[in-house]
Amino acid sequence: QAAPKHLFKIASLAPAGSVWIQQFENFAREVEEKTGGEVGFRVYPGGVMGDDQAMFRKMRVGQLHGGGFTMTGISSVVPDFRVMAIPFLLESYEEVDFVKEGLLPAFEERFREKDLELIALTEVGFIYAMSTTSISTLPELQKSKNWSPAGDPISESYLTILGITPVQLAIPDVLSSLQSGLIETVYNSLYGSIVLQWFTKARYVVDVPYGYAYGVFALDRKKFASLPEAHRQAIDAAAAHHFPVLLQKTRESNEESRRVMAERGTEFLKIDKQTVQLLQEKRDEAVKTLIPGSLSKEIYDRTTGLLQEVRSKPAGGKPN
Amino acid sequence: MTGPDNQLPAGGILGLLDLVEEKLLCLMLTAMIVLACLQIFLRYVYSGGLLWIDPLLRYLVLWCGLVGALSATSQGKHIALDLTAGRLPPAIEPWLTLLIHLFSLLASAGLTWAGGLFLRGEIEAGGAGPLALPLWFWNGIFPLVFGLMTMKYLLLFSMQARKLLAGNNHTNCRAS
Amino acid sequence: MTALKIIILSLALLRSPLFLVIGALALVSFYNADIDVSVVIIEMSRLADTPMLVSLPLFIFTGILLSESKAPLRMLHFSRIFLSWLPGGMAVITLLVCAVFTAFTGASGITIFALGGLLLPALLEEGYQERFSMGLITTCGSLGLLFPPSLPLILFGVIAETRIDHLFLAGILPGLLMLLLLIFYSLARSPARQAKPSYTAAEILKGLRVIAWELPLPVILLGGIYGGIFVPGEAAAVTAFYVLIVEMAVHRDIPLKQLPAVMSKSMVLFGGILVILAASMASTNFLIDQQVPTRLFEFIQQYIHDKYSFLLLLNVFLLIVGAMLDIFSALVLIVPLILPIATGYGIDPIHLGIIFLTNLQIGYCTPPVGLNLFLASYRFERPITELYHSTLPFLAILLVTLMIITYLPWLSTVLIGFLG
Ligand code: NA
Ligand code: NA
Repeated sequence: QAAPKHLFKIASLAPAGSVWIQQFENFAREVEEKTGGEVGFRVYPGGVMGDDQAMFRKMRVGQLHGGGFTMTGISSVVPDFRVMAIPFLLESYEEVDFVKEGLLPAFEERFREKDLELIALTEVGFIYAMSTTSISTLPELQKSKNWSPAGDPISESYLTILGITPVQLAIPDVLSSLQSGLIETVYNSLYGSIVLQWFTKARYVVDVPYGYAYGVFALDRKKFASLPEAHRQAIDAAAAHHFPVLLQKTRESNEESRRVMAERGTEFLKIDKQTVQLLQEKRDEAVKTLIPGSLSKEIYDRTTGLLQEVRSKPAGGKPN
Repeated sequence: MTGPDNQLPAGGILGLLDLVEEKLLCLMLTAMIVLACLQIFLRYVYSGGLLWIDPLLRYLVLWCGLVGALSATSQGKHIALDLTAGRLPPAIEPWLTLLIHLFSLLASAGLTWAGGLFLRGEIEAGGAGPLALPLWFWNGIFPLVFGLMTMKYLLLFSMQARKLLAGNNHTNCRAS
Repeated sequence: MTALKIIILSLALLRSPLFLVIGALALVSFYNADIDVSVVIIEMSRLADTPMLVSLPLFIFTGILLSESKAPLRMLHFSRIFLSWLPGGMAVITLLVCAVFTAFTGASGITIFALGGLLLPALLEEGYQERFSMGLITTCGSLGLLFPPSLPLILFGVIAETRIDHLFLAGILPGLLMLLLLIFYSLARSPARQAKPSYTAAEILKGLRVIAWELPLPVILLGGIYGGIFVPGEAAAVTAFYVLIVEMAVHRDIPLKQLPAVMSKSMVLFGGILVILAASMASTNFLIDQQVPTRLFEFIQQYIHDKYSFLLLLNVFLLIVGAMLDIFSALVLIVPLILPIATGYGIDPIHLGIIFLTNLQIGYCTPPVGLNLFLASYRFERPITELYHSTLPFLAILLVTLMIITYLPWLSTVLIGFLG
């Protein structure tokens, strides 16, 4: 098999053999077929090329030509991209899909400014607060030892407003620290907490989405722009075929994880309306400190506008 | 690989540089111990730490290592394999040292060059690191250390070359 | 280009700084592949994203501080009081003291220098054969490598991105097994009992009081980590702080005036390791870019079908590597290449780490490049060939241990199941 005329070297933090990589390979195969083998992809999974920042640096110098980035990682480059991660903002997949579609043109523009061509959005899922102790009120949350991932200004300023000083630990230290009691409350998607085994220690899950986590698949803009029109269309078409499937699979694994966790004795805690309202008020306070340093007012207003729009639609709304 | 041929003499600008390196290493190591212990202390007293400590610690480690490596260059203390282990004829020995200094000079110059390219990219891309200082400041340590290292190897090389030129007039006298 | 690479490689064998050799190879390779050479520095800069790295300089500092203080003397004194009633007491003392000391000072050859001069006369005095005694001390120079918080153990964790607290647990049983086998052998070679030394209660109390500050170190370290007081990365800072206070303020072994020298000496040692790690990240990245590990795995898979044959091959390979390279260079150069392949064969990375370190520990005593052999030859002023002979029986025991550790993964993983 001859080497492709246009080879894209793509890196990702997702492990080899994961749904993300499998689905990406399906996408790559379709592009290769449709372009008669002229466009090819080579994947470096499992973070072998480094984290988001290293991947972006390598794209800048041309060693890589694309990557699957996490929201937290790429937001240091494209700050507005973090808008959907604001806590207690998006509440259902319906809202997520509607807001996402509405924001897509703005996102594409912001990424292009940084020489990135946004090909598709990916999903981690809704993030839940999970704890080793039962936490269903704000004082209980404040009292527990909170973990926070490093380098995420949104969660940092939100926890500060809530009066919580989180303990920052690298992901590999989280599980052992949950066990030893160094931290008590962590944040992750349901699937993530199964993959990392956090659910074996943090057995209480607050059953209101704390936030939404997602990512992006982006290519080098210049390299993408230099492709013939037909090739670019082939990439977009293949992305439209395969990334919605990935989204669907991600949602299925999160649902499956909820079942598994419930079977293994995880308790899903209900919290009352007033607490939710209080958490949302605190969120609005936090957002004020984030604009414009970490987020533009423009993107925030557009997001809230879209949210009002979808919430005012008759029930049922847009089918998924 | 410590021998008289691999060590730089103390004194002058080099002596000053050595002194700065030593003070800087002590300062950074002390800061690392204090900050890391402070972080644990704060966690117990205020059940939470300072968010800027961990990233700062990681850059301190990087700086300490690179500055330490710069000192190792003057002291001839870099890890190296020596398969000849003193089995070479005495006449060849100083020439080999010269060759190694030349190679080290070229290699560290290459790293300096790569470090310069990297730094240019960092300045263009922007971004902030610990203590709200720009990322390029924290990463600027690479070209800086490699640059100074190149200078040190240039000195070692020229010293050795001068010794060899002078030595041709006398009979070969090797310091042990 | 190939010629250039061969020239650079041959310079590596002629005492060129290893990090410059690896760095130059990376530069040439990327340049040749038409990839911007600043990738070399981008890779090096990833070191600032490695949280566990913080513990390396701190443990190195702790180790140097301990070895420059009179802690080795105190340890020896203490164990003589409490262990000399044992048959073969002096040999057992040698093994235990060296193991503990090496774990804390990082197996960088300090043990033979700090303790060898005290232990050899003591062994000879008790009637041990000279050849046995020298072999024992030479072997002991790297014993304890598997016990926390040894530097190579941490370095493996940093490179392989495995959990350090698990690695700490994993090393304990294999390390004890090695210690036990060596103790059995030493007992068999011990001379007939001489008069049992006896100590008065006052002497015993004094011995205890003298060691009282250093004795709790392992408890502080392990208790802190597994008791949820700090994460493994922070344990180094606590240990460093504690040892600093004990040696400077309590025992006053090291005058304050001397502290800057000790500090910069430690950081120079750390710097030497860090730049090798940095350079090897760059060269490894080139291999990954060219998909070498994947191809290597596919190639090996054609010939080696099961995990057990792979492990055998791996051991032979690592013994050769250990014979040629020092432990730090061996770890940074080989682990990134072997890890994906070993995972492909279904080997637990933690178990792999223990196999790696056991092999490299043996490498300390194998010619041509055996650090312990050189150090012992220098310290005892004996020809190195004499030391080859005296370490042979010990090498055999270490090889037996290696086989058990390799084919009994349970030994490395069982404690993790209980405590991890
Ligand atoms: Na060896
Ligand atoms: Na060795």
